[in-house]
Parts: sequence; C-alpha cells; structure tokens
Amino acid sequence: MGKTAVLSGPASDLCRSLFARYYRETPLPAPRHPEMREYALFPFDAPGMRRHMGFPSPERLRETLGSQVPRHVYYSSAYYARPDHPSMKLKGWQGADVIFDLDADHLRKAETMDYPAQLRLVRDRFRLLLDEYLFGDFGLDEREVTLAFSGGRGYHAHIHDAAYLGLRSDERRELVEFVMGIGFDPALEAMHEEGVEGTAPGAESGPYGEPKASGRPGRPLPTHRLYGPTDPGWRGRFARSLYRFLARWEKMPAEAVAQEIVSTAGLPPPRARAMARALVEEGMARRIRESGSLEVLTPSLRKEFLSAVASTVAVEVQGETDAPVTTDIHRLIRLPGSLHGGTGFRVRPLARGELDGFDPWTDALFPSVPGSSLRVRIRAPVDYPMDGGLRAAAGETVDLSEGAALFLLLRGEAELPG
Amino acid sequence: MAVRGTPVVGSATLAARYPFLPGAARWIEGISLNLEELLESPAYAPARALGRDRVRVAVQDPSGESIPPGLETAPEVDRILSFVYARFLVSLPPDLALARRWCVAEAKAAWKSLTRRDASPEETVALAREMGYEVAEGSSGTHRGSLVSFSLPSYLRLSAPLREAKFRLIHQLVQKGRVELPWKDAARVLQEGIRAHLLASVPVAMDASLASRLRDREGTLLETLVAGLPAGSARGPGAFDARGLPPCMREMRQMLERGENLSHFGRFSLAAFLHKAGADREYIVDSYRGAPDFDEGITRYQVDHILQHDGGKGYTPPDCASLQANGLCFRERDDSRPSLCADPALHSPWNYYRRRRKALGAPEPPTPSGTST
Repeated sequence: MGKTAVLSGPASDLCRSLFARYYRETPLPAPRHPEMREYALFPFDAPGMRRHMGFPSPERLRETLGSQVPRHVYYSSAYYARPDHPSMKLKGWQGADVIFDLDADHLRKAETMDYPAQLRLVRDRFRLLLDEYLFGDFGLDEREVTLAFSGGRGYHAHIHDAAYLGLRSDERRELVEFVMGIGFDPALEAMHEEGVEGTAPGAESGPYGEPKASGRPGRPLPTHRLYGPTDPGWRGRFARSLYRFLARWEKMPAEAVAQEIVSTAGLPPPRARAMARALVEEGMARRIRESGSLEVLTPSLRKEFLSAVASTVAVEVQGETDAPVTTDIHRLIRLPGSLHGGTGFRVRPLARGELDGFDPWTDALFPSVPGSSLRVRIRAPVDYPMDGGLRAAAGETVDLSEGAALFLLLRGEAELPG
Repeated sequence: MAVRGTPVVGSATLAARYPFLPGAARWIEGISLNLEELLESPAYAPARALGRDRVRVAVQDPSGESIPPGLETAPEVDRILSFVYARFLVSLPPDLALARRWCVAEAKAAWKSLTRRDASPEETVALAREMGYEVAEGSSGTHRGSLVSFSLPSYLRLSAPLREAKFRLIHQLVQKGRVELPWKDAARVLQEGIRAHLLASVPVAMDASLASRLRDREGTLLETLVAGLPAGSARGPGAFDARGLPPCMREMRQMLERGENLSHFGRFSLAAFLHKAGADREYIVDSYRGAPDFDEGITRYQVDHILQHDGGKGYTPPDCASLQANGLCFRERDDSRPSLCADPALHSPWNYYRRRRKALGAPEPPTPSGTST
C-alpha cells in the first residue's frame, strides 16, 4: 500500500473536501458482482482500516464513500456469500479474480529512477506482462480482464474469466512462476535432439533473424538444434529473444558485447571477452542464427553460452509481478475508480488500447474544476510533469491546479501557506 | 480438433471401466437400482464379492497393478455395482485412511486402463470431459505422437497437486490458453484428477439403518482390512530435532500425514533431508505411513537405498532452487518472527535447519555414520 504522509489541520480538511466532492460527483464503475465483495475503507483522520464491509448495491457503496470520505478504498478480489461477516472462515468464499499487480517496487533498476521515470518503466513492463503472457500465452479475452492504473506506482490486471475464479493458491502460483520464468532452464530446454522436432534450416531469415524452414523433407537437422521462435511457451519466447540478441550483437564491437555479458550474466571479464570474441569476431553469433543450432560452438563454449549468455536473454523476456498478490485468494486491492490517498491520482480503469498513450500525469490526475487554483508552499524541491511542467524550489509558494496541489499535499511535499 | 465419433462414456462398457464417472451414475439410475437390493439381494452377491475384492486389493497393493480376480471378465453390471459397493465399504470406518488408499488404487487402475494397448486418446479426452475438464484432442503427427490439449485452468487444476517438475506449467507447451501434452502424460495428470474426484466422493452419505446393517454384515472384513493398513507412528526422532525443520520439509511431512499425495521428488527430498538431519531409519520410514499408497516393503527398500548411498552418507538433500523448481518451496508464513526463508543468503533447507537449531540452543546437528562434513 506504500507510505502515506500523515495529514492534519487545514491541509487534511482541504484534501478531505476534495475527495468528498469527487465521490459525490463521480459515478464509479462497479466491480463485477459488487454485492459479493468485501470492502475496506481507510479514514483520513485515524490510522488503520475499517474492513468486513459489504454493500448490496453500487449505489449504497457510493453513498458510503460520499458520507465517510475515506482516504483509500479497497475491495476483495474474492466473491463471498457473506462479504460483511467478520470471520474470514464464515464469509463463504465463492471464488476470486486472479490479480496481477506490477509495481515499480518490484522492477529491476527502478530504485535508481525518479517517480516519473518509474511510472514510464512500469507501464512498459506491464505492457509486456499483458501482451506476452495474459493476452499471449494465456489467451485471455480482453473483455475478461479489467486493467487499472493503481494510482501509486503500478498497474493491476483483474482476471474475472469464470474458468479462473475457482483456482486455488498453488494453482495461481503456477501462473506467477510461468510469467516470471521460474524453473526454466535454457541448458535443458532451449534445444532438442537431432531431427526430431522443429523446422529444418534454410538460407533465408525469418522475422527474428532465425533460419526459415527449407520445406525440403528429409534434410538432416544439426544436433543441439534450438527451438524456433514460433514454438509455444517459454521455448519459443527464449528463442525469439536469443535471435534478437544475436542479431544485435553481430553489429556491435566485441568489447561492448563482453561488457554486456559481464553486467547482465556476471561472467568473469576474461571469459566474457572470450565468449564475445567467438560470437562476434569469429562469426559464431551469425552462424548460430543461420543454422538454428549451437553445434557450431565447442562443447565447453556451448555450456558456458547456455549457462551465462542465456540468462541475459531470459531476463529480457521475463515477466514481473508481485507474486503474493496473485497467489492470495482473499486479497484486498484498490477499487478501480477510487482515489489513491497517497497521490490523489484516480485508480484509473484502462482498456488495453489506451495503455500505450496513457499518461498518469494528465489521464489520472485528480479532476480539477477548470480555472480553479490552490496556493501551496513547497517543502522540498519538486520536478513533476503536471500542470504543463512543475518545477519549484523548497520554500517557494506556487499556485497550482487542484490536482497538482492535492498530489503534493498528500505526499507531504507541500503545505498550505500561513 | 474435435473428438471423433460420439463420446461413449455413457455406455455400459465405459461405465464399467470408469465407474466413478457421472455417466456411470446415470447408467445406474437407468437400471433403477435400489440400494437395499444391492446390499441384500442374492442377485447382487457377485457384485458385492467383487466390491470386497476391490477394497482388499487396494489395501494389499495400492499401485493399481493388481486387479481383483474376476473383475475384468465379470459382467459389466457387476463391475459397476462392485465399485458402488466398495465405496460404501470404505465409507464405514471412522477415519478415511482406508478410503484414501482405495482412491489411489482406483485412480492408478484407471490410468492403466486409459493407457492400455488398445486405448486411444479419444477415450482420455472423453473421460476428462465427462469429469468436467475442458479438453480436446491436440495437434497430431509429431514425433511425440498424439497430443491432448487442456484449457489452461483445467491443466492447472489437474497438475498443481502433482508437484512434479515435469508437469509444472513453465515446462509446458502453452499457447493461446491451451496446454498440449503427450497423450500418456495427459492420462497421468488425469489420474490425479480421478484420485481427487474419488476422495471428494467419500464418505458416502448413508442413512443410519443402512450403515448399521452394512457394518453388521461387513464388520469383520473391515476390521481385517483396517488392521492391514500400514500403521501410523509417533516414534521419537532420536537425535534429530523436529523443531528445526524448515517449512518445506514440515509441509511435506504434513502432506503425507494428511494422506495427500507427494511427488517422487518430494519423497526423495524428505528422506534425504531427514537422514542428513540425523533421523534414524525407522523415523524416516514412519514419515511415509500416511501416504495413500504406502507400502512398507517398497518404502523400506527406497529409504535404504537413499540412506546407504555413498557409503552411508546418503544423498545430498536438494537446495531451495530445486525445491522451488519442483513446486515444493513452502515459504515460512509465521509473521511472529523474521522469516529465515527470506534471507537471500539461505540457499538450502539444510542451512535453515542448522540456523534454527542454533537459535534454539541445540548443538550442531549430528551427521549420519559414514558422513564427512
């Protein structure tokens, strides 16, 4: 749920009044079977949450949000017969959406980025999660998946396809581990034995730089043949990534390739240089790509190639997600359409088609009344792409849109003057 | 590809072969069988005798290899009704140990039937569909022979309880929401579904008078059968300290105690670990007594093999990565203390055990004879 700055006095009153206006005026999208969900509200003026709440209709939920004006609103991924029962055992679990939660906290290299850069990175990785896995391998229908910007530093995918709702925690874990590539061993699974499967190589290249099928029956295949880019599952995914890497490396100086192998695969520099020389200067990368086989490498180099270089390749296509969220069949998660109490951003539902052009700084910012403004004093230097670009130094007093002012107040980066 | 021809699971032949299917229940409804008659009528004496044999054979050999004498040549009606009678019998004892063992044996026998010489993938597909799984014949003509295609959720429901690396989703041909498996592997995952389906169907609800009469009639037999089950044991662990067990090993032991199936890799891992931790042979053998397919002789043979490996050192217990790869990593869920499992420096259950024992103030764990450290 992230850290939430403590608010008090006039700043708290102002933020609460803006939230109240939002919940009074904005029709929230109802989740599927809203009457079967448990809800949890976090108040503005007290720690902790009030959970085990149930509402017979979306209208009753909206009335409550308008009257209680919570800082955060969560609802259960699970469907219950008695969602408001205080005992989890007696709620009567009927099933649960499968949730994929991708947050900047879980992304490699995100910790070195500022908030706007983290949001761009997490959107790109979420796209990979959707296109490669949820709508790719899992074949989910877009109509059966609700997507939402979390309002913080990530995105959520709620799968409500009926066939998935009854999955138990260990079954959901299989989905997570598939997405994260846990257990895939390129040394064992990237290749197959001679002539038993796959397409025979030809002279032409396919879209991934892989050999095209010759179409000539009976042509012997080389041993240690790589699976093809169109093979299903992780075999094909690994092959697609490998061919992309090889094609790119062919055009790079060997030293640059060596550096890449050192930084991503952790191979000792002398071994990485030897590997890079073989791949680039001796033309092995091209020969692997053209033959679709690792037979061109010596046995020791082949082993090292698979154990070290392969890990570089796999990382590029590994999906990322917060595993405990997906495996939890009682999870409370932010209600799409509600406001994030740490930023004021809307937990914005999205269609897949909207994601590419989605910019939280304009598309999820709290809806300001046109022409209105709020004056705040900056507590620490800020630099955000809001209000056409907001840069201000500590101690500066600025007039901002309601959405931008709310964002800074909720994060504790600004205060009300006087 | 659609199933060729009409699924014939509703026929008496298939119902006799797979009497746990809803189609078999419909067939029984079709002959208007009265339960009183099944229990009392001399006409059903052969079915009752076969039913007793089904349970008896399961107790003696839960591998599915042994077939009750006369079952295969018996009339279809007797084969179906013998299953019904056997299920009543295993429902009578107060605990489910007998029922669990019978379920395993019946599921394994079904697998044998699904993969017999004259069987076809169509039969596997038809049976899976009848059980409510979303299955179709897959692409064919590859070197791997006929493939069976599962919807992803159906595959997860069937394969996750197996906890075998081979069946983990990461290793499967997943494409557009379908998972394709070679036919015989499909039959193997379906076997797990059959076992779970059977287990969910016992104990059968019976009215008190019916249960009482059945108990009067079959009490002696049931006592003999229950006595023939491998006894559970609470032997002391000797030098071994169970308090230090890592969550993965604890969960594996508990799975066996609950009568749940544990994969071969899980069983191997547990024995190798317990041996290294200093548990004696009897304690290790006893850990498997709850397994639904427990066989004392086979277990002792396998445990001895693990213990005697490499001059008594035993096998090295698997590390965390291997357990994770096999779906056997059960991380600590006790929020009352920091989880050792979360420590990135911890790479194996053995490290966990050593650290926990140290924290508990116990001396360094003993090592088995013949072991060098």
